[in-house]
Amino acid sequence: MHKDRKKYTIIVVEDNAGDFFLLQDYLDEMILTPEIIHVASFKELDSYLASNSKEIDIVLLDLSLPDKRGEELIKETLKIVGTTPTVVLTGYPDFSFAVKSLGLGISDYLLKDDLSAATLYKSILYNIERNKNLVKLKESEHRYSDLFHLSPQPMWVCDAENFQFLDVNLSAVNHYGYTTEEFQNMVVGDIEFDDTETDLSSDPIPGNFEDVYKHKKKNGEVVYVAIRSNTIPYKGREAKVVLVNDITESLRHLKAIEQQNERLMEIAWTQSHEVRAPLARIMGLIQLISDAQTPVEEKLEMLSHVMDSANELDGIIRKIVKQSKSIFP
Amino acid sequence: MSKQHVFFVDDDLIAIMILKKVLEKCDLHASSLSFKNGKEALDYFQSNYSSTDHYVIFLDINMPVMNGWEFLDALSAFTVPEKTTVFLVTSSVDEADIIRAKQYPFVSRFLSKPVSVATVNELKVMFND
Repeated sequence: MHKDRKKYTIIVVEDNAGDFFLLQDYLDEMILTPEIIHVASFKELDSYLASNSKEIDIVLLDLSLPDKRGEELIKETLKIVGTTPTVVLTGYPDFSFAVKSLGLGISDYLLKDDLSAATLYKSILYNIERNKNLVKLKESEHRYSDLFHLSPQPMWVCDAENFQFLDVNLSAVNHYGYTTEEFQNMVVGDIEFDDTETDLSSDPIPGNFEDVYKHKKKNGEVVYVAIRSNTIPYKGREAKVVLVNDITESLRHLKAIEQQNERLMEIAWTQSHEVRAPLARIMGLIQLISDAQTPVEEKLEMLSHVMDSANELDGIIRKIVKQSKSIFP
Repeated sequence: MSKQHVFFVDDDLIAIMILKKVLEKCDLHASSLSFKNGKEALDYFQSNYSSTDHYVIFLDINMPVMNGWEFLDALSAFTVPEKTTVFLVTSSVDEADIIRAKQYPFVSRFLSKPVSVATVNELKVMFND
């Protein structure tokens, strides 16, 4: 039979020397070069883990050690082994305790009396592999949770039917001023601002904006927000995950730009229509004055019209200069 | 024999004076009437209109009370382009005004002020038929 050539690093926590040698035999039988770290008490395990950063594949834990035993031992061990799978080995068959310890987070529960090289090997292999997937899953969950909680934009999850807030992220808490607990006792409608209360003439929304809502912060400030949402299953019910984009500032800028544009249009209109009127008059008059056939007394009269038109033009240009200044308050 | 009438519609009296002089230089000595805005011109035009006569109107765009566009809109109620020739005479050089002028069948030409002798000589043909 071929032995497993993979390199395994295994911690065996066992105070009974006989049991330890037996385990060692079993391991040697199936694995070519197992690296076995033997510790005889919880304390030794603790100090080994604290002083070594070596990657451990699996921990085999005897349930009755001189310094700790049973449930307490399991709990304390799981705290210090991190994500490493831990298999409990015991001499006492206790079915209900076995189930309980699996619930606490250990990977497997083996009876020493039933143990053989093959069952031990199978358990080690199986639990190492299964644990890898569990760790990946947890990391993934954590990553997605971070995406929500650490998003720079306010986000929340709310019930799809009654719109109760189920979870809110940090940005939402900072932006709206409500604590997470306050949010969870509210519905989305509580932060929506009732339009009918205000004078719409001061409304900076230039219309036709889809999915723009007015929201009211805890401090009473009203903001304009663009909302995007998706349906997700959340803890067994249908929910909506909502991303909020506060566009109040952008709208203010837009409004300012539109007002500036209006003034620029006015100036352009003045340029085209008002400025050219006296100018065209001056040009027409000069055409006539320069004509040799025009009588002198008419020319003198036309010259006075030239002067009047020049003054008018001067006035209009001053008006434009004033208008231009008003564009940038 | 059909008569020809020449109207000037402009709130700028100097502009009318200049245009009249330019027409004289081109030997166009038609008797003419001047109006300060579209409304005055329209009132006169409507009550004295004769379908056998021909009308030439020099029309400014920007005027108080009734501007050139409004006047043009009102024209089609009682006359036809064959009987009425309109020259839009304006100080505007706005492209939008030029494009808009093309939408009116009454408007024969869009003239930017000042109207030169050369331009009027070009238009002469349209006067005497």
